[in-house]
Amino acid sequence: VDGVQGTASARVTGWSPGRERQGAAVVTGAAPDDPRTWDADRAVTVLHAAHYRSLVRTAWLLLGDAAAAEDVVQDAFVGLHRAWPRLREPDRAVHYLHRSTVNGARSGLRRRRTVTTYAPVLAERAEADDVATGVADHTAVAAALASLPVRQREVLVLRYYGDLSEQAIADLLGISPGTVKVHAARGLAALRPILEQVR
Amino acid sequence: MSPLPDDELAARLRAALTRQAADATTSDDSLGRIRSRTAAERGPVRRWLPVAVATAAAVVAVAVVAVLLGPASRSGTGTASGPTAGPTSPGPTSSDSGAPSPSPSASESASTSPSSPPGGTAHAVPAYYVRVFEGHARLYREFHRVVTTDAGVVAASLATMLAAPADPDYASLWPVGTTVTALTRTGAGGKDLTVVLSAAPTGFADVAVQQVVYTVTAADPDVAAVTVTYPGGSSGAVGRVVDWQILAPVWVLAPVDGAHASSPLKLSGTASVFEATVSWQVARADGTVAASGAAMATIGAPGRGAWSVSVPLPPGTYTVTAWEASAQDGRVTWPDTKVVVVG
Repeated sequence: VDGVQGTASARVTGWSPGRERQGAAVVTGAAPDDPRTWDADRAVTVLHAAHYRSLVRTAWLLLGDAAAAEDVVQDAFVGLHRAWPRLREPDRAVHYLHRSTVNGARSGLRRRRTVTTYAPVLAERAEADDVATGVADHTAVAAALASLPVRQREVLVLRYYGDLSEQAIADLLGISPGTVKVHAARGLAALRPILEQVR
Repeated sequence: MSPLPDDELAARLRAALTRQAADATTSDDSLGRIRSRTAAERGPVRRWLPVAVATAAAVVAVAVVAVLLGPASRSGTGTASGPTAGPTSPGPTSSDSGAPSPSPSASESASTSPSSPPGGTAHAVPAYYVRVFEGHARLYREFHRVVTTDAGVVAASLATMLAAPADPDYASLWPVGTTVTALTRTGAGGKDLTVVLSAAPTGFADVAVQQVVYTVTAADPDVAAVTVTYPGGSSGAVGRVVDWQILAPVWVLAPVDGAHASSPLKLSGTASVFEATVSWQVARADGTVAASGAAMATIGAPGRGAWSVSVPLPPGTYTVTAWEASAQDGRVTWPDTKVVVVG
């Protein structure tokens, strides 16, 4: 059963990865829990528990297709398993996962025509289910988000869902912090009309 | 009105993204899938035995859900899109636009329900109903026009759900005469809803609970958890079961049953079907087939996509049917049928 609950916890376990949960593992870890002793299987297991769900959520926001979102994150973890011998460190591994997810979502978008399937379905859902209240809701925002240029969408999702700093986003996307700022400002401006309608 | 400051915009975007992200679903055996791929790259599996057991347990759990909720031949991940594609909008609409057909009985019982405050304006309220096919129960949605206040929409939706559906093929799992004896909101911002009903469901208790959950969360998207209590049972606080487990695979949203329409007749709906293929036919009053074909939904199962097709027809009375052709043997499964008058 997939509950509707969990919105609040999504923020907590959201994208501020490695800080709390995994940090704890590192701190309490004497020798047995030292990530440097992990083999690739163990790294995948630990990082899956801590980050799989939030990564799928991020990919879903970027892609708008649940099955495709999960595929992208599956690929990221398989890649991590391969890359672990040279990463050897949770923070770098988490960065790797985020990067794979964002890149995978972008090439996924090129491959599938999900944006074209996503926006109308979401818009219809918003119209259908919110007709009773007459209020635009988050699905309308998501539909508007899907219509933005890819970079703007990535920056907005990483900034406002992932809570990443401009510097972190810049590192992840391979662009300058100034460019991140520009994309964020333009994206937010483009969403202004719809955001002014939601509660 | 002065424009919103940027930080208020940002706060709204944050809230919308967080809520949207919560719709994302992950498969139960996600780690098992990763492991089977990494193991394949590396040769024989050595250390995953406890995990293999856990994964097997997850598979069993999925199978149990499948038995409770219907044919779950679809495996893997769920879709994140909820019930989709209601072509309706508030206000008067013509009958061929897929608007909710006014159902006098339902509207009346809803608007005269003690839980609906007097006065208010016309709302199109959502209500979910059920059909049973080959021993499985799945949900369908209708909109009904009800006069109520904004605050009364949830109560009006429930009253509509407990009254007669517009499509005679649908039914409620709650027996005729069931009433809402209490509707209370708790939790921060009243996001948790408790619904107390006067009678127990006639069967498929899990689906009956989801009938209520889908209805109230469609009426008020801010509702986070719903507790459905009835004589002899309570659901505990639950949310929507992922749509591909509970919604009927094919919905015809337009035309509505009994509609008058002009040619070309536009059929549309949503579907979560194998290879995104929705089969349809239009039959004349004498049962002969006037037109038939297949339409593509915008996404295949387990996603739920929108589909539509336009059919030129001479004046007359027709029966429209759309269904999923079984992936095994092509037989008709989950047909949704509407009678329509063209002319």
